[in-house]
Amino acid sequence: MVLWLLLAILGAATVSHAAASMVSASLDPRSFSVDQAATLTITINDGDGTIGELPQVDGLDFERRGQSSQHQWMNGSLSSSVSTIYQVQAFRPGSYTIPSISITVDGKQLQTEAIAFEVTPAAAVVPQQGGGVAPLPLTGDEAGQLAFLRVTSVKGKSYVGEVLPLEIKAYFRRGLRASLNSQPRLNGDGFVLTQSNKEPAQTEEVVDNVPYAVLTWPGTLSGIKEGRQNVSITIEATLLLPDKRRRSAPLGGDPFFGNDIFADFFNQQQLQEKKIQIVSKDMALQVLPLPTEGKPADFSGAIGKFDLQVKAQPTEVGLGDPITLTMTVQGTGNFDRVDAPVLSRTEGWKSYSPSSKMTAGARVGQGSKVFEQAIVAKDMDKTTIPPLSFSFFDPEAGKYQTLRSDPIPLRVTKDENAGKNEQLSSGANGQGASNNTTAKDAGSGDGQGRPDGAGARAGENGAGQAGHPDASGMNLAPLHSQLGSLQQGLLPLASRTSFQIVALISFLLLVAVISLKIRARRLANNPALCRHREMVQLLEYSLREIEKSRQQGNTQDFLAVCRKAMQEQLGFIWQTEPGAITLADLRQRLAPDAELITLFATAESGAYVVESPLSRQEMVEYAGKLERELRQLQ
Amino acid sequence: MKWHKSALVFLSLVMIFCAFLGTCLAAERENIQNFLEANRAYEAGDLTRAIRIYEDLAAHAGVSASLCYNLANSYARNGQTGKAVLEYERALLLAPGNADIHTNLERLRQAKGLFQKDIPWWQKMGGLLGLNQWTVLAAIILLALALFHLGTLRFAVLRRFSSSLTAACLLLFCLCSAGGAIQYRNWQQAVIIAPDARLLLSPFDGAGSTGIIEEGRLIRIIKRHDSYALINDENGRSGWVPDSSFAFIAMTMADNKKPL
Repeated sequence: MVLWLLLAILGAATVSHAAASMVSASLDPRSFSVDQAATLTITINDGDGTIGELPQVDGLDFERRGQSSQHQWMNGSLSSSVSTIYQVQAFRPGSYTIPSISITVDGKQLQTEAIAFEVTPAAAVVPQQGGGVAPLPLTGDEAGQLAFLRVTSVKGKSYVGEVLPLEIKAYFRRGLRASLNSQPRLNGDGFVLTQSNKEPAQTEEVVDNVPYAVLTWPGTLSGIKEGRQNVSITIEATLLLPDKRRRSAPLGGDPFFGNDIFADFFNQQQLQEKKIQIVSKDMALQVLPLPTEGKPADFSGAIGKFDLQVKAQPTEVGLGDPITLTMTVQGTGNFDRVDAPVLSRTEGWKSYSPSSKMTAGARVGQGSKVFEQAIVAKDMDKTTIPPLSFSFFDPEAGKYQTLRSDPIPLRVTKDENAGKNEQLSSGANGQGASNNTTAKDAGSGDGQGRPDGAGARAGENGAGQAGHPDASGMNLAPLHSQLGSLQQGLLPLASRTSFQIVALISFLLLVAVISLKIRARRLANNPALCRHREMVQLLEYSLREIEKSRQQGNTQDFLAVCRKAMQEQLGFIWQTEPGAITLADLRQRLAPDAELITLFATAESGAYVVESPLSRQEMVEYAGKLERELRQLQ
Repeated sequence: MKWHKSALVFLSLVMIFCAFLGTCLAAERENIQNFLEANRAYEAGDLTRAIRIYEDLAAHAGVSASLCYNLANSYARNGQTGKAVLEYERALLLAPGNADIHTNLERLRQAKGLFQKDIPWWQKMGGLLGLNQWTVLAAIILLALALFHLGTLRFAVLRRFSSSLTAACLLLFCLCSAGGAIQYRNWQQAVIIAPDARLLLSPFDGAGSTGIIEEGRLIRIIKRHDSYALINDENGRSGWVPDSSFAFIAMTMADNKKPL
């Protein structure tokens, strides 16, 4: 009895141990933040089991990610295990417990142990640009979306050509696999969207406790059409979503060669592609025209906020030596419209076209544009380089501003090496004589670098600005004193009708002459053709003679001419002497019933008869028949 | 009586011809006087007046190489680089070998930094003569060849001599045509005449700019859209510019009467 009890206790312990080791659940890691996920692995050892419904836990989301199997042969016995993997995500921080999970193994109901874990706040969220401003909460439209697009607020009113920095953010639910099919695109034709060529920055953000992967593009908007307009941004993407049709199938897979089985075996998940278009909310923007009042003459379209710095080197030059002006315009705005500052007085100066180099700043629209321009003093009495001015429109102030540099002291000498010597000395001391001047308020003269109003510069931008220097120093060749022949307009000779006619006539003449020569040469090279041509000519001549004698009414002559014509044509064909051809020859060589024999016989008999054998009518008929017969010979 | 009538008709025709000839000569004399007056204004430094007279002359009487050259000099001295280059180029079309025109255009370009890329040898060869000269030469060769062959129909010529001459003439004709084709490209060029021209991204007001194009640059027009043209400059840059910022080198009288 005791033995039976011991055996029963031992057996129960063994069964209990076996049951405990057959299923297990583990969570890795046990502590994670809300923007991360943990992996729950449920393992069934040495058995064929089915995992029931996972328990519902408030604030947690379970997503099945796959299944793997393992088989092991150890000490003569085969062991196997099947692991099912779930991704666990928490919506908010706190302490959670995954309760026991019920698993049916070989008809027996087994339970896993409960797992307790901690979810911390989203410490890993990358701070946002601009000081880590918390993202705005999800709006009604965004809440149910897998992806949405936001554009940082752009001010509602701007001027034509003004650069408006903006940030385009595409939000994708974390864990979602997505690929972009396009760059952000602007909807609306009144603006131009400019983006940098760099790849978008990738960050993570939690919006309303939902983690998102975020792509950020910096860019600028520029209004090109006046008026109120609605614009939005669109990007196209492809999402890879779990194939729900397959996942919802009975037993978790296809009944026939279900792909899920193989996909799970290779640790893959069935995904389907879904192409989507993400469109941001409409932005109502108003584009204002630039005011015409107070517009400086040298305004080139620059809009923004700029500073001006001017340097000149060397400042001690020989007459005719170039001075390099280095003008730096820096600030924020539409740099593509920033032109080189211009000299306020150009008399006695010769300017060359400036070169420019743009350096972008840290933020979109920020930067500096450096212009280098060579100028030459044409007089020795120059003591300063005149102030340079640069005008722009300040959208914040809503008016035009003109920056003006200080005059730069200058010494012009006759010594051609003056500039070179100075350049050498400036290189040695590191500072040199280069004059660095910052733009200041010409109106107030307080030297604070503030721009003056546009009106202060009005009327100073006279003729002969930097773009139009007096070119008298070019040493041009003298004027022509003869007017020459005047012509109406400046059109190519080939486009004039008279010339075209002459050219056409020349061409046609050439073609005609060459054709004639080719024909003549072909004829000369073909004896048969020559003979045929001669025969035709002879026939025409004979027929004319026949007609002449017929009209004269002399039958003898008529018949003699007819006989001669027949002899000549037949002689050509038979290659014999025409005079030697007789009626006997015709009878011998032609068909017995040939008309020509009769005609020849009539002509031969008639030629020797004194009395006329043919009336006029008969002569006409005879001539007609003869012509027909002779032409047939051709 | 009959001969009286004929004589009257003849005399009338002679009088009409003389009147026409007189009018032409008077107009020519007036043109020359205006031209010399403009020259004097130029020498006196009154460039505005010189330019006005030259422009009037060009608009109403026509253009000549000397007129374009003198007008270009006036523009150059007056600081109007674009129009100066335009008129020098026009003068070169009329007198391709004129050293004064070449020199002044070269000096103006150097002074304004309008440097040009080296042109390939075949373009240099094409530039030996002007388009009209190439065209006339090609036409003369064609006509001479036609007359020669017409003569060979009447007079016997050695066949070998005829063939050699024909081949040589055709080769020369092809060379002249090629030279003319190269020069024709120059006739289709235009010059930037606006001092503040910009290359725009799109053909409308307020479009973004891709940079400045200097006054006096030679350009080619690729296509037109409303009052804008898509152009390509000597350095290969392209963009849209307003029609008002450039002028074609070749022109008709109607074009020339329009204010630049």
